[in-house]
Amino acid sequence: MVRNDYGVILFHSTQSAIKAERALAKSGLDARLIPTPRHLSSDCGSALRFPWSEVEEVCQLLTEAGVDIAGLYHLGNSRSKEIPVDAIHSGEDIVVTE
Amino acid sequence: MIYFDNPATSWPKPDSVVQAMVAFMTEVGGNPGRSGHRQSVQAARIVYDTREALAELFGVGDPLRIIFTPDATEAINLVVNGYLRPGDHVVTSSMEHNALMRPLRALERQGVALTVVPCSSEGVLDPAGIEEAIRLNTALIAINHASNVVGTILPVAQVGEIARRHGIPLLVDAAQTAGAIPLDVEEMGIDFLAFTGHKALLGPMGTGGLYIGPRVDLERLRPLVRGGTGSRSEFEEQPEFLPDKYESGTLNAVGIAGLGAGVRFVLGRGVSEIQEYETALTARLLAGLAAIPKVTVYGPRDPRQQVATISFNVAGMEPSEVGQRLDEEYGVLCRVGLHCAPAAHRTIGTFPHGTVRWGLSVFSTEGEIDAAVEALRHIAKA
Repeated sequence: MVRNDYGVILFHSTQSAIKAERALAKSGLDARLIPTPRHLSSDCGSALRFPWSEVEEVCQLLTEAGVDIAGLYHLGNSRSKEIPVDAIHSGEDIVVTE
Repeated sequence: MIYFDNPATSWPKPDSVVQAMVAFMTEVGGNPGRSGHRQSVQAARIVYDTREALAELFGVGDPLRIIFTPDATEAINLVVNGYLRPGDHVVTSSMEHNALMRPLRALERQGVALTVVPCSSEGVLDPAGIEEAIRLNTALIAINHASNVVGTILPVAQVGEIARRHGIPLLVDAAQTAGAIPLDVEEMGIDFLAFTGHKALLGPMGTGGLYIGPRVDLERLRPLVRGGTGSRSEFEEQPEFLPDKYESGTLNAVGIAGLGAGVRFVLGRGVSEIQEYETALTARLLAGLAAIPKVTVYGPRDPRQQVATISFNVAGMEPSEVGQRLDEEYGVLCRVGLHCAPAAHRTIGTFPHGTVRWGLSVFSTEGEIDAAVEALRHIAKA
């Protein structure tokens, strides 16, 4: 995984993280569960991390699977940008240029 | 030894159920989803897998609409105590288990009106009776899918259609049917499905759950228990999303691991195939009992109208005496008495005397039925 350009998705429920993992399992995308980064959320459990290049596909698959996304962050390279959740579900262009 | 107490708890369990639980204890062990480490995540996967298997079995679209509870009793209590308010009215049948009747009777004393629709002496419910009982303030219709005393299957789909037409949620107590006969929450119009893990789902005790359908107003359904959920941890308020709102504290993950294996066993065999097998056994049992003159069998006495549960009495003998002799002299294990369902016994005419109850499972055999009938024949003669 590219260390300096990745996305993190947070979930409301820890079970949603597993639901997300399942939704992405057959896609071949490089998405994996990680402990929820403390600076992003006080929630326990797992978040989903993936290369930022995969963000559109990841969001589409999760939306199709009905996974409840609580937050999406674009991280790496000292960047820490939160993407509005509305943008994820509406399918708007979420690839943000700096 | 012939185990005929399956309506109380199923036995034996499939090997895979025991193995899943041992594997969880020895290899996984984490608190599901709380911590981010691999054992916690693996435990969360196992719990999710069980939700998914149950969703497949019940025709549920979103596995997260299945809440885990320690048993069906608590699932029923969650709906009755969480959804109803003083001034509401509830419609139920006269064949219900105390898991539903006791919470309803307690709420009656707090201003929730209750109508108990009578069933026939064979335990059969006419759906028209439910519809006639509906009032302007009816907030819930609650019935069991099959009686734990005489096995009679209630017309859930027809009641579901009535409930839907009137915009009233339907709670179904599937303790005696989940895993034994086909169940589809959408086809049957079920809004709340309470199920237990340790009967025909072949899992361990301490597991069960509640499916909450999309028509239910979640804001109106208060949780029974509030506490830690591993989510929204910076807040001291219970989260509002599923399943967390109704799952506080640590789940019985080892039990849920076993339940998952049990559900997959049922899915592997096929519920319809299991039903067919048990129906044939029930027919054989009914025929055997019919040939013993002093034995009276209650219920529909028609394998197509019931699950594999039969209640009977031996003329001139107390049920407890029959049960004791069956156990001590013939190794036939069963439950006697009122089976936590005084309403059902009143309906079929066996209150307060009670009955002897035999209940079969997917592991019961023709040989066992023949031997048990033979044992009863000896007891009835003496």
